[in-house]
Amino acid sequence: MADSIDRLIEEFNKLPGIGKKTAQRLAFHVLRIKKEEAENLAQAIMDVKEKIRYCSLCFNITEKDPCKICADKKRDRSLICVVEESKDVLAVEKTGQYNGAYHVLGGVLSPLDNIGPEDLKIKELLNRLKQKGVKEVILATNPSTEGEATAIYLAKLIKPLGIKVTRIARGLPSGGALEYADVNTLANAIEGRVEF
Amino acid sequence: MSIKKTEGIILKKIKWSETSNIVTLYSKDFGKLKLLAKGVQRLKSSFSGGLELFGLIDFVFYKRGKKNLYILSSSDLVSSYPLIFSSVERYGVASAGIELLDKLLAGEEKNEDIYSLLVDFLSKVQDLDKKNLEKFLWAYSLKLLSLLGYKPRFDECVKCGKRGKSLKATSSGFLFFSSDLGGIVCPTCAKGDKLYFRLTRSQLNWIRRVLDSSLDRIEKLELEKREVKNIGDLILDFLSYHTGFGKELKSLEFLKKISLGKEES
Repeated sequence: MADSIDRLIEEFNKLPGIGKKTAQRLAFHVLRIKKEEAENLAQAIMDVKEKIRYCSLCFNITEKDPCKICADKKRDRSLICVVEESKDVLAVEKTGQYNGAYHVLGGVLSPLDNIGPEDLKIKELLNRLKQKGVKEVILATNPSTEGEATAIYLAKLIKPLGIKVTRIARGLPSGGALEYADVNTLANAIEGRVEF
Repeated sequence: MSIKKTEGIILKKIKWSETSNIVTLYSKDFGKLKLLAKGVQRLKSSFSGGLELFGLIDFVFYKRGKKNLYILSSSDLVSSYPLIFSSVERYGVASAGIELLDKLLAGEEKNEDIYSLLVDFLSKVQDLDKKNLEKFLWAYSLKLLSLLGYKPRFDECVKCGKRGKSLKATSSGFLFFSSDLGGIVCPTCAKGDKLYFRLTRSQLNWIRRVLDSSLDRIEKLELEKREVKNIGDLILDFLSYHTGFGKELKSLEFLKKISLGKEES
């Protein structure tokens, strides 16, 4: 096969979830599309690499610094939601239920990967909190071992600053069944029950 | 292999595909196992409670094809040792314990003593006093090494065989330890060679007592912080000589970062 198409297949193959066959199909698709479409694709990829950077306030990915969310005056800045990754910001935004600011840690505490507090944006978070006006911090790290450990660590650092610290609720997913829930989840759901 | 059922503790999890993980467990009946947990990252996964680090689970698994990987078919969380997360030091020490076990064991081999050591270690880490954490980690490491057959000789000089009262320390109270000979060396045999580790009488006694007592009693075996550190260095040196790893254990680097083993802050 021609070298250039081989190379394209190879590149597609590197993408997550793309196997050899899919890579081939994508490459042949690119071969068939109009030139400008291909240029758009290439440009989009380059734009992402060149224009995207981290917001200096919340460390979310952005094109403009500060990011849209941090710059938005309608947002409630007394509320900060702490998440692991930028994609978690997307997930919370999708709910449409949250109108505060964010802080992206860029990972979680993980001894097995040697990721300690200074590898995350924790100092930056504390600096943000020391400036006036923040009333509540919502810890929205994943309910995994590492996420939980990180949340507990942060709570210990933040509470002495006199700021309210909350943790996102853990419990049953919609459409789930009690009988299949594990002890922990069910216990959490009961403990974190809200008045109806 | 047919369907098997046992219990085990999760040592490691690796993301395998979009929703599946490979988890490494130390099981009661089969030793170390690698299991593919399909779809575990889905919110409604049937692997209740997820499969998280340190978790003690009852599980059922089977082998598919000839690959050296098993498929996890169901799991139930028995305990997640939640208090491990009450402090970052505890979390680090617990991680170091499981990382060491994972690194030291190559394959499936049943050993109930190791299993109960691991269970004791994790439950005890939960409520230890912070100042005893490092001591506890080294005590666990010593016990683990000896269960695995790596136990160094602490009862007699590995060169001349002197033991008991005839095994004398130097006038300043030191004995020596050699990683490559795998045990203590008396001052006469060591002849001041700088390659040997220096070990005080009290450190040696502490090690001997640790090896003779259960993990529950470690807290009561007093040893100064500086001496604990020396024993830690000795164990790591011994480990890296005999197994090729030691100081580069990631969780130990983590512990250094959060400064366990340094001055109390």
